[in-house]
Amino acid sequence: MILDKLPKPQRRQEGEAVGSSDDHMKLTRLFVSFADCNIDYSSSVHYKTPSRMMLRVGDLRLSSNLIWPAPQKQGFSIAFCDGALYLCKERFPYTFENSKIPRAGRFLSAIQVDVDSLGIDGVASADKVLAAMDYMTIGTLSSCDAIVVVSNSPPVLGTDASLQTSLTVGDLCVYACKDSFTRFVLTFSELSNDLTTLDSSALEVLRSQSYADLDEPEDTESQIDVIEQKIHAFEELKRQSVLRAVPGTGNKKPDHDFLLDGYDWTTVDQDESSKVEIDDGEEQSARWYRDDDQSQVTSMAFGKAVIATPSFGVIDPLAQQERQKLRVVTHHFPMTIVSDPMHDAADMGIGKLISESAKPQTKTRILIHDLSIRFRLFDGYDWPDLLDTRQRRTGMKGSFILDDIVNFTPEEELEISAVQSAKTNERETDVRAQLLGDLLGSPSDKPSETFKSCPLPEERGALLKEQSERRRLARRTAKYVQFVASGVSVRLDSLALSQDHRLASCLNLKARDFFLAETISSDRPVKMAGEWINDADHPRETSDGLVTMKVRYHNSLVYGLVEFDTHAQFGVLNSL
Amino acid sequence: MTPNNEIVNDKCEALVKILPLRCILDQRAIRFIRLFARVDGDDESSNVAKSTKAKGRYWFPPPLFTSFRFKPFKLKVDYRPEKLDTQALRNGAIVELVNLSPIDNMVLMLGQVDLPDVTGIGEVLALAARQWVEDVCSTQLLKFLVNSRPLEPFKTVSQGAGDLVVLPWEAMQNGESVKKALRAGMKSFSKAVVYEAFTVTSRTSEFIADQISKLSVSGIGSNALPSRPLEAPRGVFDTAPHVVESITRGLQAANYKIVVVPYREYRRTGAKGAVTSVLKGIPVAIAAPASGAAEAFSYGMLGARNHFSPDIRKEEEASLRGLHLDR
Repeated sequence: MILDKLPKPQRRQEGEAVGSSDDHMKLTRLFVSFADCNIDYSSSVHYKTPSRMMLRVGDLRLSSNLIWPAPQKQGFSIAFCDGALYLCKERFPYTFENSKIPRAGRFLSAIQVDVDSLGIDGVASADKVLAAMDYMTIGTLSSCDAIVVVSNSPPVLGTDASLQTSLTVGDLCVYACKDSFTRFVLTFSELSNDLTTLDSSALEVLRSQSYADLDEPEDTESQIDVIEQKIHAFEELKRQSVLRAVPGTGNKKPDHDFLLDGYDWTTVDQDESSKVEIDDGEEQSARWYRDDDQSQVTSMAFGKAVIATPSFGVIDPLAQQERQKLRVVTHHFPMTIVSDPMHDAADMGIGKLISESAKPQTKTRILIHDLSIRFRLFDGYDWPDLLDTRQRRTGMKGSFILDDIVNFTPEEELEISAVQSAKTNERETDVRAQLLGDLLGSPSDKPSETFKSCPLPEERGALLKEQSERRRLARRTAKYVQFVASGVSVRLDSLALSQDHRLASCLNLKARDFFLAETISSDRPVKMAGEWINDADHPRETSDGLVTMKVRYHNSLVYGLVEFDTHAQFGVLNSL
Repeated sequence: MTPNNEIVNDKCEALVKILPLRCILDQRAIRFIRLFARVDGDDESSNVAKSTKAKGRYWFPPPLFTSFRFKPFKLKVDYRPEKLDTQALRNGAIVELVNLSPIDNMVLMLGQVDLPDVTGIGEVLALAARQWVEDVCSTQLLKFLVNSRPLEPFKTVSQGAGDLVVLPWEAMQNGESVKKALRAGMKSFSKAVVYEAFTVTSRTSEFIADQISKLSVSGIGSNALPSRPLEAPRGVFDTAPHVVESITRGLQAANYKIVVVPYREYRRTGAKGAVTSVLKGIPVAIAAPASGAAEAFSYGMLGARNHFSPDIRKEEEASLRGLHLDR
């Protein structure tokens, strides 16, 4: 950290000394960097799904210029690159890490520092250690840059926010088979459930908050009055929304003469640039557009009092000549980089949630730019040893390993049930042996240990067969289903509570392109679903996303619930 | 919380807009996705929910969508069945009839769906899918029949023939130029005929080439036909390299069976062995060049079709975009 002192520029008065200590602002340059570190998580023994996850962080940097006293806005930059997520099928013990702690033998038991039983002795490279521990690579993230801006004063314009986070994310890839993907989802679900659910005490607090205001009025009549006022306010909002013409929605029913095959998919959404007014029905025409401001400026520049527009009936040739120099209006790029969320939501009938005089303030804003996602789900299993006999036989016989359309002969059915019952008996025997403990003799007396390094021929054959089966059922990298989305941009605005509106948060999601591909039916990838390009039938605007989604959360009108809904949204955000 | 001490759902409204999509579906791939998404044994997510509740914790319920709207969009679908489940068909699953024949270039219009008061995104998707299926079954079921592979060429040609009559009629009704409308109708009809002629010829000759190559003995490799290039040909001249390679591969297979193998047999066992191997190689000597020529002809027809229908070629190029760079 480097500590600097900056003198504040000021007017000097006569006789005043320059550089007095009271006038200085303090600047602290903060720079924190982590490189090549791992974040390890092992699922709790109280959870049903045993697993251990490791997040490898290639490089993480945090930087900021901290100014004191706090300025109007403070910015932070967080850069993350080269991350990978690994998943293990069990709660792999931390004995190796424990053994590295100085004097671990003093305060840890022998089992907790036993490295020999791990089976990773003599393994040199990190990848081989991960393979020996049965870790699978679940996902990777190439880079993520975040700019966080904290505003210390309330936002003034609709485009400002108290806390704004802008993320530029690179490629997010997930590679998994069915078993590893299921285990990852369950691990994540159990953890997020614990973090986002309410316990009994929190529920009681919520319950008391919900009915706190109901305790204040002394009689039921005033309670009813308050509720009626709220309902009346809601009706008033509805009435205003009906009266006010909201662009993009309209109250008219679609005219069936203009429908194509009975569908209104030719409706054109509202143009982003609000300063240009386009006549109804002329959205597709190609011509120069003018705005009224230019004509007024022109007339004033020539010092004429008359506004040279055709509506006034007076046309000044010089002004007209100037009007011919039209400026090109960029339809495909908005005038401001971050537009007002109220404007974006206009086509969703947002008028019924905010009154005309309301100026919703944005508390938190999250922006994600140009994210690329790739999910590749493979045929096969990452951990074939966890399969039962039926699943293994099905995998060997079907057209792909996960296939279930397999008809077994009666002899095969008998063989499968015999093997499964034998394994069940073996498990029961092990449990019995554990319960009986030393009564059966010490573990070193087991006869199988003698022949461990030199198996019998039939054991060797069974071992080879087992290994061959595992290889066949393992992940098939050439057979997969892949989902790719590129150019994903997300905008999430969370608004401050207010009596003037019921809008809580707005979410805009747009994906420029996505497709679903598979190599199950043939050796070459085939696009199962993707964009249909036909410039003659349905030309596409460059700003259009292949998928666009808008979601508006709003506060419910049940009395006393306003505060709760906001907390719930953040709970949902956390779980996301 | 409600007076009944339940946690209230978040309320929201949503709007989804999707541009026209192109789908090439294979029965095996659909089955794979269905099996991948299926949860084996007990419903594990509900077990997680039960265990959470059992521990005395309370979930936030999923959001309540007071309005979830999907805007209408188009789908162009190709479907490749693998096999027909006759047992299911006998049990009343009429949907199995879809697996009778491949479906080509079927355009479905999925109408606007408005779902009020639905809880959770899973229910939204299920209800939306159900509404679309009901809408398609009630209004567009005929498309599954006319777009099946045996009937699709007739449909396209008859649409072109219809333009030959309808366009001049409409021009006459609206007082426009009948001559121009007639010319447009002729153009549409001839385009449809040419397109279908090239497509059907290409597919038929590809099928013949594939069947013949399976009969030929694998001497040089397991398949006498070279694999087609990844990019769609823009015209007839773009098909030249693959055409030459197909014919050459066929001639090489014939040469191997008629010349090389008999020569080796002659060196090993004498004239009798050579004559025997020549006789054995005659079928391959006929089949391999024939399959190569059929494949060359098929690919040439494909190039000619793409030359006359550049919009179809652009669609095919778009369907390949972004696929092979990810490998």
